[in-house]
Amino acid sequence: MQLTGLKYGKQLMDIVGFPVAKTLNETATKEEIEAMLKESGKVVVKPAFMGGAGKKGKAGLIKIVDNYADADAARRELFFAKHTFGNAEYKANGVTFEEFVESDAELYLSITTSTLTRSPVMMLIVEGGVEVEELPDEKKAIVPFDPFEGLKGFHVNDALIKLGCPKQYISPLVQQIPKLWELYDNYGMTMIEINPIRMKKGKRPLPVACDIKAAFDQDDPAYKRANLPGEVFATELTDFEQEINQLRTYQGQSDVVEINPNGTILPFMFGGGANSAATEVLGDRAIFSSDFGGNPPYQKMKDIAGICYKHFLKQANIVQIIGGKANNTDIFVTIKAMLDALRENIKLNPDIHVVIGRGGPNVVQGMIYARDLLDSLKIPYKMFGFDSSMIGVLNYTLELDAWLESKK
Amino acid sequence: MSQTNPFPFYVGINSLEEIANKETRCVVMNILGGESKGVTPTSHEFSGGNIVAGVQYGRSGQKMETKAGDIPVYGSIKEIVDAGIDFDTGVIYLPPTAVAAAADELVTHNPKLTKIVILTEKVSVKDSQFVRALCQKNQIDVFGGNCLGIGNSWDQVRVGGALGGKAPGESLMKGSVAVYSNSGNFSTTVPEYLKTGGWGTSTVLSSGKDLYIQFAFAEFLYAAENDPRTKAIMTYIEPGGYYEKQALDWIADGTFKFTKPIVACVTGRWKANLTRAVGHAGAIAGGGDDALAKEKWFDDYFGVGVFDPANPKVSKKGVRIESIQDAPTAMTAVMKEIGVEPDFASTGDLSLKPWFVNDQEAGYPGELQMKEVEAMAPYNDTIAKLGNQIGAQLSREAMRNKSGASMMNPKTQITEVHGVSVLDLVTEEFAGTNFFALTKNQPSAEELPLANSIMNYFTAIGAEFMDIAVTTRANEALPNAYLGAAVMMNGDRQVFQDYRAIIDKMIDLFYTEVWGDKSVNDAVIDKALGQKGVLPEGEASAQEAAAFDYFVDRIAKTGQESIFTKYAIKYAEQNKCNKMNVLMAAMILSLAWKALTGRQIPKETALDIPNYLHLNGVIVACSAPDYANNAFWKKLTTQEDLSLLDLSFSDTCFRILFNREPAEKELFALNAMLNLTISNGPGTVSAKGSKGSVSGGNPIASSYVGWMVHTGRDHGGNGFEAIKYVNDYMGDFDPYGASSADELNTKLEEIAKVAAGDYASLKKKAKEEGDLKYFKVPCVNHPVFKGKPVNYDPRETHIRDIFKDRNEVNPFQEFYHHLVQQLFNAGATRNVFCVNIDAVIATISLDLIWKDIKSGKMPEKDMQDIAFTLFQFARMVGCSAEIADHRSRGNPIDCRTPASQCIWVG
Repeated sequence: MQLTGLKYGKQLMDIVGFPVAKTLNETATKEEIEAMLKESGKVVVKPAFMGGAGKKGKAGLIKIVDNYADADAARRELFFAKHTFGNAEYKANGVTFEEFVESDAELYLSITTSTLTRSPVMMLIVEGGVEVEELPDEKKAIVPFDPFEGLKGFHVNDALIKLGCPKQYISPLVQQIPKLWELYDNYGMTMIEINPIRMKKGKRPLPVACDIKAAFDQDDPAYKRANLPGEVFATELTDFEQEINQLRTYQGQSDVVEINPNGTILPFMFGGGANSAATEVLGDRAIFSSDFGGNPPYQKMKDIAGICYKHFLKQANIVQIIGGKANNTDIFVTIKAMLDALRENIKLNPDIHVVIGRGGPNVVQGMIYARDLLDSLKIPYKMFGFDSSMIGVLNYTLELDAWLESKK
Repeated sequence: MSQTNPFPFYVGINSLEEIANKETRCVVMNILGGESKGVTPTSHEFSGGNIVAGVQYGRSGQKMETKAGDIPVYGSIKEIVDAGIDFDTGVIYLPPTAVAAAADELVTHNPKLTKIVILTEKVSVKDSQFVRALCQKNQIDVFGGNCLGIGNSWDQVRVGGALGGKAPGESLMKGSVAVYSNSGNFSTTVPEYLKTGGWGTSTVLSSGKDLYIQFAFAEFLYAAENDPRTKAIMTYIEPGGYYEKQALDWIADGTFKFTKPIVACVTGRWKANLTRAVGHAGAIAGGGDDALAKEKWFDDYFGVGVFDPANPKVSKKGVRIESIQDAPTAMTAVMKEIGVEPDFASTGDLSLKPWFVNDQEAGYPGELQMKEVEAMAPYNDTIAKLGNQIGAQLSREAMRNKSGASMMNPKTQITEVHGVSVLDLVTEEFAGTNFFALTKNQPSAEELPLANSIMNYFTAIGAEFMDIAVTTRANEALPNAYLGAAVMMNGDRQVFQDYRAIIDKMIDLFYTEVWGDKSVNDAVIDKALGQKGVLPEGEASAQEAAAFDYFVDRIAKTGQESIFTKYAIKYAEQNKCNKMNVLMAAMILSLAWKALTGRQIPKETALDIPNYLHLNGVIVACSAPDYANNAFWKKLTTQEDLSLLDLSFSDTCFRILFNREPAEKELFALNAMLNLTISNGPGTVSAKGSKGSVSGGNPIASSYVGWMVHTGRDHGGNGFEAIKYVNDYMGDFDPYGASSADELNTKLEEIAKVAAGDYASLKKKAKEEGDLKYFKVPCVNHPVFKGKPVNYDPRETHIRDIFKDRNEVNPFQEFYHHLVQQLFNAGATRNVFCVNIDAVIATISLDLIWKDIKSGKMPEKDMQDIAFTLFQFARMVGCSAEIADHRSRGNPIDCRTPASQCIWVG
């Protein structure tokens, strides 16, 4: 759950009163844009993406203009811009016009969790728009701090001194940056990054956030306090993911990410390990990556399976049920649920094949149930116990899939 | 306790032996919650009673029963401490939002606490951060969240979660490998895999894979180095976090000494493509901590490339493996490097061993074919115990508006029975369809002659209830009622019970000997014959003895000998029994064997098949309208000429109804029509009638009557309306007498024009008079196949095409096509209506009885009865499928309508 840019980032900054560049959205009128141009000389035009689309500047998707005609041209050009980041292609739906903050200094700041210190950390760099990973250590100040005490002014002060920050900027930064901890700590965030902070010229330099990236913890309901519109996160999910997500509980049991909506293997993965292994081996033959482990009750598993079949059974060659030797998940209950749902949906694809690799409590009972049901439906199947390599089972599924594809 | 280890933060554990052992004393929070209730008793029993108490808010004073003694339940940690119960380990099973507070409660109230194990998944990062800070300040080691437990294979102790499932001892075999796994499931699966290489475990830790791993890789390695039981480490790692890099860096820079080899499996390379975590919350990488980066950390540390099982190369520091299936081989190679022998003999291997296989004749190429392999102990015993159940195992549910037998495909409006469209049944033999309804399989071409003979034989003996039908018919009953009366007389008669007992015993004698193979096996037969008097006693009448001889001969001639028929014949020679009944049951079991052993039908249905077919015979036999003058009927039912049993069953049906031999064309038409109309889905009144009777708890004969009494003048009897309509308009014209196709066509068009004109006038007049109940032309239009300029019912088109392919024309069906056009021309319809499927039934019926009507041989009453009787013949098949399905799936009284759904309309 991430957001980037000022379209919604400004709303976050406003909560704690951290100064942020003035921002207009795509509906801005000629008068509004011209007023902004008059005030700041230039305007920065950026496409507005939902989710965590980073590295827009590198992709040439940020335009700095100094007249309305160019601003308007940039609006048209960037309104539906496409941007590939990770495995996802993001499509913009709108733009922002942002005040160009005239400044002699830029900074990078983030607050996140460090797995090295096992604590929250602040990272400060007295350069803006940088690639953090490419920077030598001496240019970064990484400051772990006690979450009970929080990020204090002295943490910021010490870091800025270490980095050799020009003195006139230190006091305004010490005043403003700790506010971001309040935001991070109280609004369910796992990361906030401001890159850059530009020091706006004036009687007293003012740190202004010119781009924001934030990540929220979906397991922490505090993120809802920010009152961000649902669309900010909803667009990260496909229809299928959203439908499954409605069944999400803290025991897991319903984590999915759509991998390839045109895939031909419909995989029910159980457990984080099996999820990693199966996602790796099946690659984009898998329609989605999933983890339904955590001993889901019958009705929930059946509902989940029903949704999976509704969306994808028709196109699938194989239903794959894969997991190691379960500790706690009742194999009979889960297999029965998935197979009962298959029976109810079998009209969508009577030519489906089933491959199961599983172990755990009541595994034999589950497989016998599957055998009887699949026999009655005349569905071909193979079921492997946990004494067969899980990877071997997945590879077998891939080979079977290739053969079924070749017959099409 | 002062910290002796070199960590820059608090770590209390210095050796893996200390994490979980015989001294560990646990308190479980939310002990009576759903997950703990299933897991905690196993942990307690396996570990010899290491759980001293549990907390369940508001339920102080309760207890959790286990085989190792009861665990007392308190309302809070404070209550436990106040009760003087000592414990060092807190196990948290609470929902995520309660975890931080529970940790606080443990720390606040128990000064003797040294460890917290958090099972809960999806604890927020903020709460994990709180737990970390809190426990650091109070010097407590934390395992989890999302820790699936800790196992000590030497002490046979399990702390926390369900690691190892219900049989932890199976996975936790004593040995020399310490396992650290980001995955809870793999903390069980990996030890299972290692066993195949002969490697047992010392301590197994499910680390959890949240963003915060509180007891991480470095701490684990340090404790493993100090553990004398541990000779090597097996670790399973996922993307996200720098825990492993930190550990390897600390070894490299001498922060702590580490000398034991590691086998490391890093997965999740593909996950670099994902932007959101699935499964483990922390298994999503940032910049430099993806799977590729982690692979490199390990490879650099080991100094050798990834493990290649074909060419095993490892270093003393260990090796990285690509997938966990290589764990046993790599571990053996690494241990060899340091001179350590396996802990025990290999428990097997990880090759593909399917426990259950059925390719369902999908034609897999050689490399994809596999044979079933016996499962490892003790799973093979369980399979043997549970797996020998024959037939489909169906779960019971309310079946009021459901069916596993038939459905009306909502798109095509074509009924399917057992997944086969009735259109595809048209060219099957009707005898075969009688079996298909019950076995889901059409008999093969080789089996069909025997199937026909069986149906004919049931018809021959079914005539014993003719007098009931005759009496009822004389009382002006409709065919459904007089045939129903004959059927009802059968109840659950002794012969049905005998069939069931015979089939049941034969399954018992042969299934586990021959499985799906029904071919003759003399050794098995001889063994079975050793059991005397196991089938119902009885004696065959002279007629039955003759029929027995006929069938013995028929079986031989048609090559249908099976283990069952041979056993039946031999059994009859050696035991007192009704040999015809025994042979009949054996023949039917042979024909159903594939479906039964292929688990397509439940055993219950297999036992009942003779009962259903017997009743079908009663219906056909008792339907003969002119039986007193029907020489065929007499010969068949007195069984004086057993060669009549060789006929096709549809031929028998024809001769009984029409009292003459059919032309080939007529036989085809009758057979087609019967198959076409066996079912119209489970929602039809007839199907619902049969289901209602089943749900009431009746024998099969009563359920037959259930559907029969739900047919009537409006359901099944209405075909007559169309027959009469067409017949009336044909007048004196004999379509079979036309000299050419053109003449026929011209004449039919003329008649259709007249009929359309009449209808247009009638409709106009009725509308002027405000009469909405005026006569409607039967068999045209359809609620789905409508609205186009010219409409077709695809089912009717299909049948018409089949006739065309045979160079046959049904003139009455052609008349209907003229009629719909003329109705449109006359302005009676807004477009050209379709000729619907009911017209097919009516026009085929008319085709069959035309000659008899025209010759005056068939009075109007018989004409009416015959159309309705044909419907009974067809539906007995469809409803037998419905009854068998509902009997094996439904619940008692599941057809009732809840009072809340009943509407009073006063």
